[in-house]
Amino acid sequence: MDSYDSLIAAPMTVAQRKHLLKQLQSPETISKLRRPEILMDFFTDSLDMGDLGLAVPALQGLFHLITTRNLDYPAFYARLYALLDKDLLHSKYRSRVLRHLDIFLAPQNHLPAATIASFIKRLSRLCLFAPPSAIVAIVPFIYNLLKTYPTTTFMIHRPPHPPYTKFKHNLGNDPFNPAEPNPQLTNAIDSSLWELETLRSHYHPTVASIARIISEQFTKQQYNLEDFLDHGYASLLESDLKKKDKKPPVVEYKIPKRIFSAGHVDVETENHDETNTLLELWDFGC
Amino acid sequence: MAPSQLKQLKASLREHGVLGPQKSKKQKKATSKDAQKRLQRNAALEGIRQRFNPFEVKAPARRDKFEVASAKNSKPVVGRPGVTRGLGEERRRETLLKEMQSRNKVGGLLDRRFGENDPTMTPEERAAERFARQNERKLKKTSVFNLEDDSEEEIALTHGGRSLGLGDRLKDDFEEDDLSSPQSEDGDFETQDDRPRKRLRIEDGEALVEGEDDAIPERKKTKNEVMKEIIAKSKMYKAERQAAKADDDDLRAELDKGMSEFYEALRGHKPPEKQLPSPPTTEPEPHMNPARAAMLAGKPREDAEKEYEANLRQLRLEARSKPSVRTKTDEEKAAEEAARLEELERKRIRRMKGEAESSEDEDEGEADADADVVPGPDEDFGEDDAEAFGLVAPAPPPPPRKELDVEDEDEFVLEDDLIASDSEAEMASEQGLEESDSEDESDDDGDDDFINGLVLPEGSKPAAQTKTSEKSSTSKNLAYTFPCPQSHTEFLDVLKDTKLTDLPTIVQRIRALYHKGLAPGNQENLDTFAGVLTQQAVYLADTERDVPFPVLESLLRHLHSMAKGSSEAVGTAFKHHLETIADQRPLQLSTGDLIILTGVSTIFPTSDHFHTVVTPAMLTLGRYLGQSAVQSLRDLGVGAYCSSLALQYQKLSHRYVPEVVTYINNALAILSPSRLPETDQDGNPWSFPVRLPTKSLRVQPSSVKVPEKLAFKDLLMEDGGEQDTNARALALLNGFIRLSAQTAELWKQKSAFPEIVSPLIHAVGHIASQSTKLPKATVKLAASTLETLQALQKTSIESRLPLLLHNHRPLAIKTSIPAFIENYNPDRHYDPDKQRAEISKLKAEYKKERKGAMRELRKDANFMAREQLREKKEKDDAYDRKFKRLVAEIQGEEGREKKEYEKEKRKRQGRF
Repeated sequence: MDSYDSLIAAPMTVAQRKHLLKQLQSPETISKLRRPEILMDFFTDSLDMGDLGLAVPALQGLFHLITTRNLDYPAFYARLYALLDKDLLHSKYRSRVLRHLDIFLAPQNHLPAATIASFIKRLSRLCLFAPPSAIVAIVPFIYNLLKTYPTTTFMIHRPPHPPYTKFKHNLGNDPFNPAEPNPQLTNAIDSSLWELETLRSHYHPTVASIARIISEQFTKQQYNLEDFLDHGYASLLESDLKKKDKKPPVVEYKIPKRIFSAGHVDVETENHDETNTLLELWDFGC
Repeated sequence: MAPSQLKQLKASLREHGVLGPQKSKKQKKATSKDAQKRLQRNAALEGIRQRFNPFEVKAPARRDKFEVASAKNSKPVVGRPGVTRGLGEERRRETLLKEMQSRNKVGGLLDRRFGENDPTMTPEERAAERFARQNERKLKKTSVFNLEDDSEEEIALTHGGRSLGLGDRLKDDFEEDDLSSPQSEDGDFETQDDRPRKRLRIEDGEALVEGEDDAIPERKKTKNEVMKEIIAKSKMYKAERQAAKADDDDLRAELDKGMSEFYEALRGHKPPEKQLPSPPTTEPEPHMNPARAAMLAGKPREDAEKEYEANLRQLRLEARSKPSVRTKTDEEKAAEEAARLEELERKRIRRMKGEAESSEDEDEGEADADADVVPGPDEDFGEDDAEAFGLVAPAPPPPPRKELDVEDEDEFVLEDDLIASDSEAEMASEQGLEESDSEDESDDDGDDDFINGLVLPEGSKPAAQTKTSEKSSTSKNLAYTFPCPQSHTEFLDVLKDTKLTDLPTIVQRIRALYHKGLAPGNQENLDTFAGVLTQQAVYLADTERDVPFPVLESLLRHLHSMAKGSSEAVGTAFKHHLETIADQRPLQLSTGDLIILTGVSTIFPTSDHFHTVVTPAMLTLGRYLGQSAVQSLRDLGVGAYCSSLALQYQKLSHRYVPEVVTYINNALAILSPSRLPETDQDGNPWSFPVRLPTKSLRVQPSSVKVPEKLAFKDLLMEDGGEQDTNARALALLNGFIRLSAQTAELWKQKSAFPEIVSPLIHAVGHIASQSTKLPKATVKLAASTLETLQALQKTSIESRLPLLLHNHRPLAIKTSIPAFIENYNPDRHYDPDKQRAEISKLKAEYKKERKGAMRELRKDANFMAREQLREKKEKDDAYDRKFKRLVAEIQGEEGREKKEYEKEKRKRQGRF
């Protein structure tokens, strides 16, 4: 079994490393090793490489070592926080990372509220530019976090005056510092989740209604995260198209005179109250 | 029913020998002297008294303590053991004793009661027949003077004071008598049976005589009498009326007398003398007010007034003649139109908010809305939380669907007198061309005219358009009738020999020809045709390089107008196309797809919370923007158009589309002449990845002049020669800068607007700083856009406040109404298990019945023993008496003989 010893010490390409990590990440394999501690450096290195494909399995292995082998890894949550970068929600590792996060941020780990708040804020900031499938998963996750760490609920409900806010004025400024790598120091706990509030008006009705759970009463204990993972454009589209119509679709009442040609007619009749952004920008050659 | 107490008493007295046949004085004396017998008699009497005392009560030993509080008062407070015992005894004597006596005996009573065993008779018939027999028997009463007998049986049914069966019987008797026994008239009293008859006859005669003078109420009035009565009544009423009239006259005369004074008082001077004596002139026609008349006619005043009120009300409710619908003035028309638009807008906003369209829909939609919009987080939605939000593909709960307001369409049609009869439509279709010739520039009427085209040929508008676009008129040799194509290939066949510009005319003619009012199957044909039209639009846009946009436009508008008629068909056609996109080319949208998506934006309300067509279309756009990999300028063009469309979709509802922001940023990063820095001016990292194409598409420094607007054809339809790549890239860059401004404008109200816009500011700012590499116009545009964006961001930051999302009322602890048991009795055992409760109830009942039956049996046994003892005693007594009598007889005989012997002996002795 200790053949891994030499394997992990040898120089390797990213693909090789990935392969090796895939083999080594599961707790069973690690516990089979005689001296699992030797993997510590390997995992740490993989995590530091900044590739999600490497970081995710490394993270899992590392966490196993921390919990079972009493590994002391001081900046684990900072590292985890760094993992939540711009690519995360757009990558295929999204679901896996979320599953891990669910474990790492569990209440048994006794995390400070500021750290949790940083995670929440970072995730919701990422959500603002994420595909619907990611939003659908993140929002229940954040809900669960808010529910388990009630101190963080100030992020969704903060009376706008000093005992609750740090300043009297300029409350629209976000105190959150996205560039700060340490989740303990990002001031996220003093911020508000405007991003999620905005997502309540997401263009897709399902996403919008899921985002709305943040503003509803928190009566549900936990959302089962697993149900919200692994969705995508295709599944959403399919479910929308498969929906059985009880009633025929509503049709716009007014038939427009012009669709492709920004006509002189509109100007004449002066009912040009709503600007046609399409025609403002496009010339259809007619 | 047991006989009355008195009868029971009599019977038992007789039984015990207290009452019996009359006894002579000697006998009485003998019994009174016999102490034994007296004792016996007294004991018997005591027993009877005890048995028959109805007032003997058995009160409970201890009274209920709180009788008000105790719930069960079903048991009577006191029992009457005497009565019950007596009743039981009586019943036994009737049944058990009879049985006992008839035991071991062969034969018995034959039930000869009439109709007892005749199943053909109904119980009523049986009863009637028996009643007749009984009466017959009664008539054959043995003794007329037997009052006792009579008093018992004389319960006869009566009607109107006369006995029912008796009258007929009497009559019969009468006739019978007359016919059969003339001798009875002669006072022949040979048989006893005659006596009652005669007596009855006499009675009858008397009754008849009496009937003449005092039996008026019972007797039916003769016609004569009735008439007399009526006449008398009418006379009476007449007299009353006359009296009333006279009263009226008197009153009037009195008033008239005062009149002169009244006038005097009015005028202030003395009236002429001659007016005074003038007699009160009676009116030629006595005039009465209706209430008075009614009153005189015999109705009380209240009734009359009520009737009057009712009449008045009825009159008030009567429909008045109304003016026919009048022509409305322009102002009214405008007001109506405004109201209608307002209503439409109200409905749209409701749909936008995801509410049911109207209150009627609400109930229906509620369940769905619950599942879709507000998933009660408390309830456990089965095993899948996501399913509650409709996230799972297989069977998601459909959201509230909105109803198409078809009535608007109808209204239109009615308004413009457009419901065409068959012939009209035919004619109309022929008129088409002439009309199109004459009404050249009449397209100001906009959609009204277009919808006219629903029934009338649509020559007016689309044909006019083709004309305006290219002045060569529609081909004169264009056919007037076409088959209704049911597939796209068929349609292509139809179009084979026609010019592209004639397409709208052809479509219009087909629609007129197959108008749904003309033949039964037309609606289905047209529905299919709608699908064909969408395919045709895609086909045209995809294949024809220089398809005239007016043609596409008119196709889309045709589809729109068809959708008003049958939205389902058009919706399905669009959905079908969206499915095709999703299946085949989700990330490579063709021009035709873009046309269809544009069509969706105009035909369907894009602001709805959920719309079966718009939502998938929007998702298709989002998918393209979010996932497509930019490889060429065309891709960027498509992306720009999609972003533009997405903004157009959200024009009214201002919903946030994250993909648009990321795409615009990506595009700006791709097109910008130099590489965009990874972090913005504050050192903050990007929140989304930037994907650069493999081949650089950056704008090269040049001084090309580009048009202000993006040309659809140039960017999307041609793959572009190398020569104007830079111009196109520049045009796209300008387009994206403008798009970013539009985006910012659209979402400036969002609370996260500063965060949304900051990457745009970063990118646009970067472009604005590239003054050396970009034309001046572009840099200027970027700078001005940057300014706007920054201003918007600033105001947004200033105006926003920390979130206050949870201003909810605190939730009450859930309570449930306790299940109260009516008339709860703590003694009773309430078994929650129904079956067990039922079983135990049955068991208790069985126990009770068993106890009762045993008690009855015991009593029966007692009774039997008593009876047997009595019988035995009687038998013994009888034997004893007989023995004694015989002994006495023998003794007497012996004694007599002895005496004879002695006598004889003495005689002989004496003689000797």
